[in-house]
Amino acid sequence: MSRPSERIALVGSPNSGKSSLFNRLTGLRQKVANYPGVTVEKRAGTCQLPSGRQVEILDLPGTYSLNPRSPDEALVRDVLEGRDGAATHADRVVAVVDATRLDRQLYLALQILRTRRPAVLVLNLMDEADAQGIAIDVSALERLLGVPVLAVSAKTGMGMDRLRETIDKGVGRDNGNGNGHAPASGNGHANGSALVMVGENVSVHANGNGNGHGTAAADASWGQLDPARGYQEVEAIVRQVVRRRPGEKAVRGRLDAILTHRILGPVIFIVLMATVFQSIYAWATPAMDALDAGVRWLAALGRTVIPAGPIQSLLLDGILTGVGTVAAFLPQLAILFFFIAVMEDTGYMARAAFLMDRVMGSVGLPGRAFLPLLSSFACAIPGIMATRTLPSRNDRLATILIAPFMSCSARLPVYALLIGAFIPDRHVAFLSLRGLTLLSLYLLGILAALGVAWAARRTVLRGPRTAHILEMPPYRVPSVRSVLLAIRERCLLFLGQAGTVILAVSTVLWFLASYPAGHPETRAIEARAAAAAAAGQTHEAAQLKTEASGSALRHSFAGQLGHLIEPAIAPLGFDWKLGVGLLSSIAAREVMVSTMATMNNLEGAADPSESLRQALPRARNPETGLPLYTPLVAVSLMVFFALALQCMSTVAVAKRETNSWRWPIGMLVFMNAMAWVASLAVFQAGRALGWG
Amino acid sequence: MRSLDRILPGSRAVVRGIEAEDSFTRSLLELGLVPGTEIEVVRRAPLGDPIELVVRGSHFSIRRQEARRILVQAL
Repeated sequence: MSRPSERIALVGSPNSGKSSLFNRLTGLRQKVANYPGVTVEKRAGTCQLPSGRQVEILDLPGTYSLNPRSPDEALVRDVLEGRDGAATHADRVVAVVDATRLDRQLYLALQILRTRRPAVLVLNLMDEADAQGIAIDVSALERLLGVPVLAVSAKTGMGMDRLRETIDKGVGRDNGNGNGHAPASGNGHANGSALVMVGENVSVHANGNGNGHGTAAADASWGQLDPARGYQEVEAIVRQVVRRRPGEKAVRGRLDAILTHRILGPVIFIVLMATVFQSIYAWATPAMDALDAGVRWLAALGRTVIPAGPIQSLLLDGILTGVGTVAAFLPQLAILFFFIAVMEDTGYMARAAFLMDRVMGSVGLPGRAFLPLLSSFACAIPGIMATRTLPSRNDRLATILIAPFMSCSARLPVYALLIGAFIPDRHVAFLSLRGLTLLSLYLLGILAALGVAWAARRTVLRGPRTAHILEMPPYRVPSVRSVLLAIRERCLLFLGQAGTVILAVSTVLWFLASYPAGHPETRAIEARAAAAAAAGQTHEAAQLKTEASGSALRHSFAGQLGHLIEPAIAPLGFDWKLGVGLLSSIAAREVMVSTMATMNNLEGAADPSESLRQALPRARNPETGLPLYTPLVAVSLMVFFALALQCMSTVAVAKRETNSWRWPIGMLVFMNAMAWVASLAVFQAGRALGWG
Repeated sequence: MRSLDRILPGSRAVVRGIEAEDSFTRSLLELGLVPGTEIEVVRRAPLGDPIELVVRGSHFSIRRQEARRILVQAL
């Protein structure tokens, strides 16, 4: 594939169908990365032109104006002005407007044309305009603006060939025309020069047509485009080129009457959110189990192919396990992004934000933050990735900051183990004490999140709550194509950027748990296991093998680290074995359970979790003979899990979504400090009260 | 003249001006809320805030706190 010779930027308002246009032009040849230094995503793809040449298409973030209010919008301005250096410089601009709403969207188009970049104007959603009885005189619009105007529908594909031809034809001619202005007649396009420079002639034309608005002075820059004058120009243009058949907008009205209804609206919203939550929490499980089974099948296969030894262990226990960890997130991500894409594309997301804005506003977050936070109860990974739907940087960061406090499904096995082992199966009034404990842990996370959001808004993310001006776009039927592309894009991003970090960390964790190998104690147990196997005592051999892996882990670097951190966690009531468990929960919180099973020689048991539930309360301190783990230690540990950020995947995704290490590292330090202090308070207060 | 947050849902009004000059004002203007523009208040959210407006054929939601700064004349 030859390198694209030229870069073309798509610029338009949100909901102008810009992304569908981008998908049409580039198909699967698209890539998402971050712009250097900002959290804005750079979406680019290659487009094959009729002549066989390729150009790069840059899908700039949707914006209402070139006067930036957000980093996204600032980026659009920088690219158009060529401020950002060669990396994001665009050679030409395709301005995209929604043909059904020229009255508003032409304003941005006028600003774009004023940047004097070679431009072409695309009237998208032309099929909808037709259906609504809106007729647009395209050649009159071309004359007024002095740029080629193309009527297309990215949804049906209408006009796309002409757009490609227009982009194709313009190439090469531009150089000869470098610093030119649009011909005064504005019909340069009709003469065959497909893409022309435009400048001040826009207002001249608008005024020249006898509408008498504004002044005749031409702006040298879009920055000076006065909104009042700009809209007068837009009105003048629209009056000349748009003819409306009195149509009906009944569909929108009827749907909105239901979806934003005082009572029905919230009810529908809650049902929908419950469905989304249920699907990522439960419906993803079969796919995750299937992936897990696949990974285990591969591991079993690998054990027959690769000779036993350090290489086998590295490949299968280290890398393959890491791959499994990464892959396990994909079903949840795919399902969540399916719902997000459908809700965005239909226009429902804006209604949901409308409904929830007041509620979320009580903690200084916008209505849109609801979905990412809800998703985080299943898993913070899709939750944090879903913050992409928040337009303001501060809102996004605040949401990312508190997402890990939502009790995710990986904490549940740990809670289940500890509650089952230590919380008596009693009832307080009609409520089960165990159920209440679990509920309290969820509430603890939510309260911590509210507190942190409140505090962050007053410190690191200071500033007024972002003004909320949210467009409520027309309802539209989502296209299967763009929904699938959105899912694919999110999954690939996760694999490429967060996945690599997760894989690397899990390999390091494997190393810590496996080396140094061959401690004399481990060797001795292994020898006894081999002897037992040779003597045909299979049960005995299996038991000894389990003890050997426990011994290996206890003497590994991870075991040594457990001893090393013991002084730090002893005040919380944790011994060094729990320390090893905490270290292993960096891979994923639920790994704590299997690590504790290994540490306590229960690895091979039929149900390690059940055996562990019985073994933990019986464990004794070898020196004092007192129970090692009491209900108070269990509560302290659960409080720690509720608040701490151990999960490397969360850190990796936060890094990817904030495009810096500053925020994830800050979260690590802060959340773990908070968890430590809270557990300390619980344990020491409990001890002072004589609860163990 | 009154502020936009006091216009009842279902009523129309003409924008007369926006209080205080800042970047937020600028964004409202750029969305088309320039003096002389006719707008319609469509509805309020279930908890009374934000409100939904039609400006030049596009629907927007805006918080009442911000609507307070927009001066309109009821039609």
